[in-house]
Amino acid sequence: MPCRAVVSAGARIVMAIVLLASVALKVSHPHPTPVGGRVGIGAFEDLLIAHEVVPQGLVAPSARLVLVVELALALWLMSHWRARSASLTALALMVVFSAYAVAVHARGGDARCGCFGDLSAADLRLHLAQNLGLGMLCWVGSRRTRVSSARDVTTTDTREPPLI
Amino acid sequence: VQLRRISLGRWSAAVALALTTRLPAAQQASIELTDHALAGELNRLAEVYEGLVSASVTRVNTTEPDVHSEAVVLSTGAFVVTFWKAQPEAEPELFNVTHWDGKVLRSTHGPPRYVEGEPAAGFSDPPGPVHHWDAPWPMLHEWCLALANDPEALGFHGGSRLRVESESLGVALTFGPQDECLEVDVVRDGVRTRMTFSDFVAVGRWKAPREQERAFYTRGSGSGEARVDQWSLVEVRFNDEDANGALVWDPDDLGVYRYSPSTRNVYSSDGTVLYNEEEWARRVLGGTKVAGVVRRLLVPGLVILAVASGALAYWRLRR
Repeated sequence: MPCRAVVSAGARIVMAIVLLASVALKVSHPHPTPVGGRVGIGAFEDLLIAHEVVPQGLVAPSARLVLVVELALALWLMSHWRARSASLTALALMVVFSAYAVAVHARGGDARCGCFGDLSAADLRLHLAQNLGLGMLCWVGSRRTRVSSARDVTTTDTREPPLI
Repeated sequence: VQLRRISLGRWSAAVALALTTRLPAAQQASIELTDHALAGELNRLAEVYEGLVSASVTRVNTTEPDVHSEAVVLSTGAFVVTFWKAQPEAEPELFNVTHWDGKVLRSTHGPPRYVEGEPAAGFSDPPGPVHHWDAPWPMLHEWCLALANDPEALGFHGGSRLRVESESLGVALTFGPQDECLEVDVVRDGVRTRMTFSDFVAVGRWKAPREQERAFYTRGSGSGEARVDQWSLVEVRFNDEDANGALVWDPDDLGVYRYSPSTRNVYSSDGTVLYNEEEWARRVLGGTKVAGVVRRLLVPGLVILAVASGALAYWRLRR
């Protein structure tokens, strides 16, 4: 089994774990927010309302869409099916999240996006560094793993020996 | 009258001298109580004022008649003081809020000056953090108990008045024949504040004054130089439901909201109900319960998924 394929699969698994943790931390936000006094996914919605980036009517659907996308992407990454596409999609998601953090920071000076519930980073640089790290993980996960070549080798090896 | 066991370690000689020299003439001729009799009187007074935990005072300054003030003071050390000119509806000129939960002090003296954190050492020592120069009554129970347990406390009886003072506590109290508080003399941070009350009316089982004179003496000038202001107390409410339970601090608004312990409503000072604390607590506790379950299962769940995904990757690579 090629080492590169193992590293790539490992990166995808780690990325999927991060996404699943993000979903779990958002839905289990334990502290009521100062604005709306809500916990759980409601706290994430309160945060989106406070950011004033997403229109008020779209806050609740957007919050749930983020959860669904993260969950689906995590499962996709864990399945290792069309692994490169899954990793590049996750990379694109990191770019979108980073852009959102910059937009929120530009508006209010606080980059806390609520991605990791109450554990979200408030400092923009820390936030971007975190997303950069996750983006690199996606890039490693997207590298061609020559699964098809490995399959060929495996097929060759399992051939029955010629009859003598 | 001679003071026993005076030590000049804590306060200046001038302040200690002032505590004795400014006694009213009636008290100059008074009788010093024995320690036993004094403790008995103080414990009785502590019982009288037990349960008085909050005071709301609306008043007007008689030396500057257009200055009004409203103060809400709790025995916990939380208080809110609002000043306005001419009309109560006018914007407060000074909004002074302190919230003290026993650990963290949050205070604003006319926003945006804001302090949050552990207070300086000795903050909660007697005479305590209460904003007593506006409404000292919520502290009387605690002060009486502290004085009863202070071996340096001195008591004088005369002219149907009882005066108790303690240099070490920095507190001197004078009570009238109906246990009404006639005078409070407090020394703290080098400033001595003397409040004299008169013209009493019954408010529940306690007596509330309608006139108040307040004098500030800075350290070293206790011999007579003072800044004096006089207030007419328009309304005094004890244990008002509005302030009885607690003042709820909002760190985002840097403000204190009112709390009604009977309805459990939290509302702003203009009476607008902001939320019901009971419903809020139920929602938070319900959410917290779910959050706790999710977070307990998070790590083992992720480990299981990671192992399963690793096994799947291995299978796909080997296939």
